[in-house]
Amino acid sequence: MSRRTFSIGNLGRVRGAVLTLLGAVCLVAAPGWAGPREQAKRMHDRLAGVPPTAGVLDAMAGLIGSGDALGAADLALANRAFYTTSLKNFFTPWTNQEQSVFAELNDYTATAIGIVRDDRPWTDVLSADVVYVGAPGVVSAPYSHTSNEHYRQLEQQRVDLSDPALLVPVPQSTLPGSQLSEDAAAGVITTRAAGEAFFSAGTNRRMFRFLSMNFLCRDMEQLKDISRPVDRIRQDVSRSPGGDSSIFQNHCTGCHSGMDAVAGAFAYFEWDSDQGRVIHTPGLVQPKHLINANTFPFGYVTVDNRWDNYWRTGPNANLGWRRAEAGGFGAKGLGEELAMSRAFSVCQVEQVFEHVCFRPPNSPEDAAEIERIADVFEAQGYSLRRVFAESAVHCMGS
Amino acid sequence: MAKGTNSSSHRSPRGQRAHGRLGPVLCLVAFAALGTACGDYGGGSSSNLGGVVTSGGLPNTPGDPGGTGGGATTEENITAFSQTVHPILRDNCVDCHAGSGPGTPHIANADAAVAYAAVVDNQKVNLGNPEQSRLVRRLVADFHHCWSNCVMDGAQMQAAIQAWADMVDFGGGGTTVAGIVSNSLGFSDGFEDEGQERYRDNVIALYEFKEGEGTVAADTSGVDPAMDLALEGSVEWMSNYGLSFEEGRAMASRESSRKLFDRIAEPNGGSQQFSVEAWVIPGNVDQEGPARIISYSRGTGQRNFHLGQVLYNYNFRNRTILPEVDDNGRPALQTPDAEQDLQATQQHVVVTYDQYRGRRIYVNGRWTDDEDPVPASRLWNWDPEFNFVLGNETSSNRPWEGRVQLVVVYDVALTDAQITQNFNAGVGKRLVFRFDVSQWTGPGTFIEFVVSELDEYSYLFCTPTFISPGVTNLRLSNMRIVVNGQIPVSGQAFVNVDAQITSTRQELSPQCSVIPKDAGPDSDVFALDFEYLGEFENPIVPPPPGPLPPREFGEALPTEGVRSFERVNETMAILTGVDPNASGPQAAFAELTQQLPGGVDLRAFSSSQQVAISKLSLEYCDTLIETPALRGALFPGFPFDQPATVAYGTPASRDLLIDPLVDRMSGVNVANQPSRAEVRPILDGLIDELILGCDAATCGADRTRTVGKAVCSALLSSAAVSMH
Repeated sequence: MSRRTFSIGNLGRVRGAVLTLLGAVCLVAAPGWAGPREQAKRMHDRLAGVPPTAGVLDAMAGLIGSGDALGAADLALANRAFYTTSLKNFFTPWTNQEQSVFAELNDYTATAIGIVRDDRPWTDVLSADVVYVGAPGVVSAPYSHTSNEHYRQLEQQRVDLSDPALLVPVPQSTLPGSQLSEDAAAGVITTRAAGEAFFSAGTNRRMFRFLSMNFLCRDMEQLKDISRPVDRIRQDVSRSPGGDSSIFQNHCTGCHSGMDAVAGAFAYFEWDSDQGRVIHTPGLVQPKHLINANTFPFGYVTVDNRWDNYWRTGPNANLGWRRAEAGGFGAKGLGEELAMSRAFSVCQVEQVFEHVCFRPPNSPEDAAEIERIADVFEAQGYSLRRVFAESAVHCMGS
Repeated sequence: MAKGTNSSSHRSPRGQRAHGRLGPVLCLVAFAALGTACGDYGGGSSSNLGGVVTSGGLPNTPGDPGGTGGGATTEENITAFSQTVHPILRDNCVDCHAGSGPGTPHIANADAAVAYAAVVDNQKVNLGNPEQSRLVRRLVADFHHCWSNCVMDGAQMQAAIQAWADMVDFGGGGTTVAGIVSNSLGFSDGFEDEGQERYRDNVIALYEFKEGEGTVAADTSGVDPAMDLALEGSVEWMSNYGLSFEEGRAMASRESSRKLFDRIAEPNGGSQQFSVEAWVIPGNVDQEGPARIISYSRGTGQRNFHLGQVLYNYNFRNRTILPEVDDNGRPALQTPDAEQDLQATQQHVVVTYDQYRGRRIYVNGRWTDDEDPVPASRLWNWDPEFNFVLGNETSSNRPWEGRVQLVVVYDVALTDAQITQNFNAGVGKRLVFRFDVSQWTGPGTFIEFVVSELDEYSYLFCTPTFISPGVTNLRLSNMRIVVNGQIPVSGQAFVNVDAQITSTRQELSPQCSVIPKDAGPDSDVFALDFEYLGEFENPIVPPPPGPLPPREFGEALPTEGVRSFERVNETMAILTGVDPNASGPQAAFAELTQQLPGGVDLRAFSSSQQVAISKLSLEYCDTLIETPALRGALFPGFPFDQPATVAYGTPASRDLLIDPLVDRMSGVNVANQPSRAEVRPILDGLIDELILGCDAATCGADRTRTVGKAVCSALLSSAAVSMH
């Protein structure tokens, strides 16, 4: 960095000056009443993650002043940073086990961003035969089933993800080398990034756990119900851990009875770490679903990708399941089952609310607003863009 | 962390309050930058929570989700519950089980009806036998979050449950399930199932542990001398054949143990090969030492062989005449850590030794694929004076916690097929139960189960088979095991059976139900309950789910946040007009990414994050000021080419730098952002300090630009920008 002209000594003085400034600003900060300009700035900051330009601020303030706060939110949603930064950071923790925001753009994240940008029904995220990729020629590396390089380049080259000409949807089933049929593709569930994070090693139960956390806002502890039938619990689960079957009765079965029944949807999936890709073998159960069979030979033996939602009965009936069938075959149907539940709608709204308002709902008024926005979400064709806008309006201050 | 609706993120922030104004927030950031961060905000769920249940709870009646105690109504039960058990739960369990905490079910919910439903639906209490209530056992046996002394707490809970039972006149034995029910059977009505044939040749010691009481476990191999085991210390009999060890041991005399030496190692007549087979249930995967499961030794330093446990691994030592093998049978053959072959569950383990393959370990009928690290050799140097012992070392200082259900010693190395055969044959007492359903499906029809005791807490009801004298064509669905007139809520595996019977002997399921014990095998009585059987039906309508617990809110939370790492970078790029892919900012951002804020939560903001923000702002401001086109556009007319004393010599000149900066970074006419008038004195002070002692000769144009960068950075890294 030959052009840098400040010295280390100067740097130290500047840091000192910065802190001095901060301390001083405390004494002179302006009052907090929020008029249209303040509301507009907050709304833009929260949605896009960056401050508005003077022109956008004026326009948004004008719309708020005239009673069209949602219109103002739409202006903020048009900022490219909403897609490349705000949404990317919103979805990235969903795509890895560590739930870290410090991860590369990948096909899971890009697909979620694209669905929001194009205002497709957000339910597509768990069931549609779609993945968002860079348009031909935008970056040098094409989409690959065995590498994330395509998305790495999109991020490094700061490709504008808000531009429909640069980030485009394609059916997963039509990608060269795809092992998925249209009926097997299930939105982000069948993306490479999700496979690497949640189909690698293990027994594929992890995929459901993370879907539940991210799309139902419930970890297994919240779904725990010991009264469900145990007939889908696989052979690899001990019925008497440490010689104490009461542990199985009161703990293990609370999660496994429901979880194993739905995780059957992933019976044909595996992450091949050698190739670095998701493997899908229609009709052939992956060995990981059958491992450690001698732990309890009288347990369930996976024979296909059948799934059943045992949580439709019992306390988890409160999640508001609405799909016609409570069971099916494969990940797509399970994705539909999750996405059509009321819990999905409320969960998505809650997460957006927290993302935009910087806090979870923490008052009866907030709770009522969550339900109202969830109603709007469903009435507006599962528009997650609208959820961002509604949440920003709620939290823009007054 | 889970993002549940009742997640701990609803907890009160530590000492923080909501702020509707930016001013106080700016102070907060400043203090954080000065090293007074609020500290991390944890949360997350407890690792040792969750519901527990036992059989023998309140009977569930279709259409009555709460069930009833004796003849009492649900309302009467709720009343009794609210005056007895509920107050204890509210006093001691609300942190986790009230509805807003991490624990389920919500037995401590403020609403007595909600808490009652959670208790009853999950069979947490046994009004007929309060001592066996799960609420009591969790305290007394599991030491689960006791509030004073676990024994006393358990007694308090038991007394409360008894008071509840008394208030509703609970009869003690529950009620008979109405509907389509088979006849009732007890353990005395079953006949023993021998299972598949075991390989029985070449046995030289055999322990089946069928005694069930006393201080001696007999060697029933029939091979003299009988190598009977004396039980010493903490050793308990298992009701389904076996011994449970904590700190005790079961040891044969030195004289009888010599049988092993004579049959296996004796130089002239010994086979020079052997096998040890056992069904074991390791109590945990924490013990090491190795902890001695089976040993033939004298103390910790000398042995002929042992089978031990080291965490998740089986450990097999064996003495041979090879010089590289010591008197303690080392080096050991041990299953590798990565395989975790040993699990704290019932396992069939066999170790073999022969003159070709050396040591081998088989778990659940399969060789572990672990090759012996030393070659096979003779066993002539075994010591005939050692003792055969289970559960500990002869010196009692290598205890193993767990259960043993069968031990067999052979004077041959079993083949793979023989080991598989014995694994498939299973272990423990198994009874065949035949439940008469002729009342519903005609004379001579019954349903056969293979029943066994899984452990102290449960029965296994396996492979139900419908048997009829002639081929029928009838429906059978939703079959549940009934214990003492009540249907255990947990462990039922045949609820989803929906079969059309088309043969005289038709297996209904290859699986097993895990049914909790109530009073024990001597007195528990079992039956089968059906929804559909033949031409009869008793449709079961699932009860509606209980009410959702009311959402609980903590204190108000901060309404402002700090920009996270990419938001900081994008914001600085926009405000300065600098391309973030320019070399300086790009390199700095790559280096500082993990040091910048990962999220927006103010309470997690730290001084190191402020330092990172400052560093990054300097890079952006450096690029801005050093790029003529950029600085010219933002600061038209400012004399960057003049000495510092000139450029900053007049208020008017300073205006050319400061005003555009404040307008750009703070915004114009945004009331809750610092204004020009508020910021100006601070920046003037900064400039004065940075040009103190300057003259035209010592502080040239380079100092002018450096001061400009400092002013730029002071604003760009301030809360006016990094907060939103």
